[in-house]
Amino acid sequence: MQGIDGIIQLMNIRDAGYIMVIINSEASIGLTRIILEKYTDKLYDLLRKLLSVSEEEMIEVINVEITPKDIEDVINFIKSKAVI
Amino acid sequence: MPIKTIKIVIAGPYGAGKTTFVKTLSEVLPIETDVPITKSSIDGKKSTTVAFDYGRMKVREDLVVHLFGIPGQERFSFMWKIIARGGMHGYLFIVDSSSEERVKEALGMYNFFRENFPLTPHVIAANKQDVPTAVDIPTIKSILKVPYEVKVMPLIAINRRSALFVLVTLLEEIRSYLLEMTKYRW
Repeated sequence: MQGIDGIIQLMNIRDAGYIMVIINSEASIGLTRIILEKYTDKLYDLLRKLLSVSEEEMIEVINVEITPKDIEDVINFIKSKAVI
Repeated sequence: MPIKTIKIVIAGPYGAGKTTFVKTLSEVLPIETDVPITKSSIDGKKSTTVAFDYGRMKVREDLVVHLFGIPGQERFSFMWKIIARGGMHGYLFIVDSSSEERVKEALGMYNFFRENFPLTPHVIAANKQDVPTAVDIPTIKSILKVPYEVKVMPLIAINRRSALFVLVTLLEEIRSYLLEMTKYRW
């Protein structure tokens, strides 16, 4: 569900884990900003509740280790796309 | 094959130039601001457009860079930690350096990041250095009480070369940090 309907649906969800999964997904960034503008107070209350649980409970961090070589590849990639 | 994600946060107070910075980069680099929708929509749309506060750059099949701009207004401060944590590799802290007052406004947010992410590599970008009244780098360092080892770079966010240079500097800081960590492990 998208747009306002999606946001209303989202605001009705009370499952903390689900909300955090949404916040950490890529597509949520735009959605989060829309919510921030339209539903700041509701979101704030919800996030305050979330903050009462531990960090480990809130966010499942998927750790795929980044190496110096990866960063070097990014730098080289940028340099190949643009003359700095 | 697991996809490696490099997460870079673009922080700074309201009006510092975060959105402009990402927008400028997106004009010169293959940064996508359309992001996949978590679930397929009814009309089959698979991506949605977000503001220029977010950018995704695919470097290799298994390596993606994410740029996250965070809301600068103090009333959204509860979001700073939430967006930043979860594998942030580095952050760029953009300051509006057009006047000392604007630099001073950034102190609270900068302290927040330093206190909450003390080991995360970062670079400070002094934006609007093309303004005649722009504050010089040593003064900015002094106002923000920037540690000696942290770089403060001049920035003109609307200038592609300037934005790229700052981004590459931050990436070099992240690489140096990872190299140090590798040495420490051995």
